[in-house]
Amino acid sequence: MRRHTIIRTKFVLLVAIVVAIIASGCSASTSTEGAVFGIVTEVTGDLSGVESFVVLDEDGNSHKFVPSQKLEVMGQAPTHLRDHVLSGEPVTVLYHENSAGELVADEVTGEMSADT
Amino acid sequence: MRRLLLVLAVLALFASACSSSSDTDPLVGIRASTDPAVGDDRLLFAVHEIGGTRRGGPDEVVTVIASPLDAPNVELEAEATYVWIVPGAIGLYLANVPFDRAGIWQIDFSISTDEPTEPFLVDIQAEPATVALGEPAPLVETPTVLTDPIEDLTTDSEPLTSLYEMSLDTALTNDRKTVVIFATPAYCTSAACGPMLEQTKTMASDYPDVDFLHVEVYGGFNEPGFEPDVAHLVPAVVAFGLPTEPWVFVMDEEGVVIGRFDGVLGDGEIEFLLAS
Repeated sequence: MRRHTIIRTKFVLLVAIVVAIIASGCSASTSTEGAVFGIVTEVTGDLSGVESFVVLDEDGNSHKFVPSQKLEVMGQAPTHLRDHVLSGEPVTVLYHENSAGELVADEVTGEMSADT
Repeated sequence: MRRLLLVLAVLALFASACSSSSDTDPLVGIRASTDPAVGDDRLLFAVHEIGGTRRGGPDEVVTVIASPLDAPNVELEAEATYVWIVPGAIGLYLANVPFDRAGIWQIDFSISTDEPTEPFLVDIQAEPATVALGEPAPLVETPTVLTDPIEDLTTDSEPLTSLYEMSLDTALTNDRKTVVIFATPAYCTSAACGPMLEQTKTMASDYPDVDFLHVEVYGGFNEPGFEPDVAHLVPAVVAFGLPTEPWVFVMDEEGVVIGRFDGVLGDGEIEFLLAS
């Protein structure tokens, strides 16, 4: 009887650990930096620069970014993001979250990041 | 064994919860028009799968229904045509929707494949950032081959000299129609500049009674240390209020804007204005 209780307890713990691991893996990241892979759906700004842009990720979630001061988009000015609206070529955005809660794009590449 | 099955079931449940995409994900529309305003009837948009795959083509017919959010009973329906930016490679849908009021419009669309779609929004401005239809075009002097070598006038690797023989202000006051394209093939932020300029060059030879001009977006591009930044925008780009490039404007004999096109030219769009 006692042996059965120990086995049951171990089993419950095992299930709890598995659930916790999976849950942590699929919940949205709460860290202050990260990466998003997706398509550029909106770019606001003009020829002088980009004010913000939006990326739609593979799960259908939209992420709004503001460019960092030194942001380059594949070696070009941030206004190159407009090309990705026209062409539909996906991008990876590496970002951090600033104190105002904005997602600040630090780097935009054309490749899928290992972090995404 | 039953416990193992239970664990597997829990795993499967969480795995399905993690992934939100499925075969039934709707197609999404992405607005590509950069300066939509009241009086325009040009809606450029792309169709995507949520996973990122660009959809659409001449064989996939798309119909749109546009409604102001504050007046959903108003429904403007139009069939969109597929327009190539880079022939055979990149394209967009173009629908002619006579937007008649400022505000947010919802664009519902259907596709001939009968796949589900998700509406997208377009913010129609009361006044465009660029020169509006019906307004006189700004009389701006632009450099020509009479004053500068053509290498300093264009980044086009195969320029058509006739596009640089007349200043814009002269063209706008000589009682002829004018077509001006603002594009910078070498420094374009998109792949659209080169193809749009090529279309314009092709048309130029077909309309000897119309003045066709090309204006580079940036000046001084042959100078050491040049950067395509706001400090190098040429006066005509600033005067026309361009938020993006490329753009084509068509002016009538009085120099009044009768057509404004961003990004891509549909079949016959400019020809229609020049024939009337």
